[in-house]
Amino acid sequence: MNCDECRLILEDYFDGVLDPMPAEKVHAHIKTCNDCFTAYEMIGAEHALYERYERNIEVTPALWAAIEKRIDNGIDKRIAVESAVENQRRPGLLQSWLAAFRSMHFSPALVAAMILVAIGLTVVVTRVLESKRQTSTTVARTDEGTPSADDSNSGSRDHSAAPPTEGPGLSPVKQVAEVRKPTLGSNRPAERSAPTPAQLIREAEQKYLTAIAILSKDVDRRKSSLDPEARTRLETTLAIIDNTIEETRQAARKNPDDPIALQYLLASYSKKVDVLREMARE
Amino acid sequence: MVNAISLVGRTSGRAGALMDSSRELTERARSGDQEAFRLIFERYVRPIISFIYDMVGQRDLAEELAQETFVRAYKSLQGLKDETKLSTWLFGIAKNVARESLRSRIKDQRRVEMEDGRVLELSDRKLPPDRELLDRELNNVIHGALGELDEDKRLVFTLKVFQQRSYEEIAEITGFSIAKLKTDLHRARAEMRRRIQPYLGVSYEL
Repeated sequence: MNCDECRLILEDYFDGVLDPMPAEKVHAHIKTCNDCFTAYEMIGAEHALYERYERNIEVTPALWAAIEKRIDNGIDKRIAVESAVENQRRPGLLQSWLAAFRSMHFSPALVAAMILVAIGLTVVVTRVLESKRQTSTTVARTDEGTPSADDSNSGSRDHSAAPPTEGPGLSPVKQVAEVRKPTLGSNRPAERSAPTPAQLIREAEQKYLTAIAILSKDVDRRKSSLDPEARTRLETTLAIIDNTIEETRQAARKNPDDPIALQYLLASYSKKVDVLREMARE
Repeated sequence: MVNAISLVGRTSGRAGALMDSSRELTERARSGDQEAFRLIFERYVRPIISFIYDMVGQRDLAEELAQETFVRAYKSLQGLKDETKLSTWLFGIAKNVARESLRSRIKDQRRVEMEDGRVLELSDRKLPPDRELLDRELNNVIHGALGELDEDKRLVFTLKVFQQRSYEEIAEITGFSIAKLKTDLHRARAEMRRRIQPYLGVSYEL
């Protein structure tokens, strides 16, 4: 398969709708072709952007109330199931739909997603440590009153931490992408400040979203082998997580300085990655 | 934050209920159990209202049409033949409701007017520095770009990319052939890609 043939069906491959034979050919091609693998990754990045699309729609109780009124009947307001029952049922259900994935293989998409998550977390941890180190260094230098040469070079090591005033106004995603591109030789002055926790969280969020987009496609390919009931359960489980992500994301956006809100947000992303990864690995 | 934390507390009732199968809930709702229908509503309201919003571009209208969707669903539950396809069936109703609204609203106007979705001129050099603003701009760009798609493409794109439906499900919901929806999807993706390209940072050809 050459690059032109690969690009023609790369979206279908990403969507998981190719027959096994052409899918294998694309697999093999993107393993050896950097350009096509990059194109594949970029489709994932595109989907990650779409994942970030926030509609800011709140489902208010008034909506159900209006429906209830229109169907002209009372509703018993009782809350149906207790958490204990849920906890007892969930493992069995999880096992039942995970059992449907026994024949899965470790795919390149899974590997790519896991690498993305690993890179993302590594970048975040590294930057947190680096920002702390820089802060302490700055304090020390302020005390000494002597700027060092290291200050003017440090920026090239960390492009994503740069404030947009430094360059041509790159978008957040573009900044992340820039990190992945070779940037040796950059001689921009270091006008950047250390990334804020919120920025670091956004970056981690971006990595999670890219990983989720890739893993979701991997799992989607396997959905057709599920019986309808198992598939419904799977979709329900993912819907619960998606709802959690949506709500925690809104909370985090409203309270960007609240560490608990941010923690909840990342925890919900992490949960989705875990579930998808586990399914893809099975 | 209250919402996010309270979600944990609410799972005892809601998530437990969510674990009921679509078949079970549908059967219960059909037999007049409105609590079961409320659970169906809770399970699907967010994707349905998001889908409608992506189609019509206005929040208030989306809420109104979501209401209409669920009322119609309740009234025609007996017509649902395969309970395992409850979600697909609901999206089909939502599609009809959204399209009816668009037809009556747009008339001879091809482009859907998206609220607060003024189409932004993209320029890398004019992006504001704050990430919050960038996110808001990205939202506006995606929102505006959706409004630029013609109705069929927007429908297919939304179902595939945002709602992650399979081709078979999209075909069932829209009534399109697989060939048509694949063509529409490819073109929609290309149009959307052109609009969001500055946010991707790397140029590539597909």
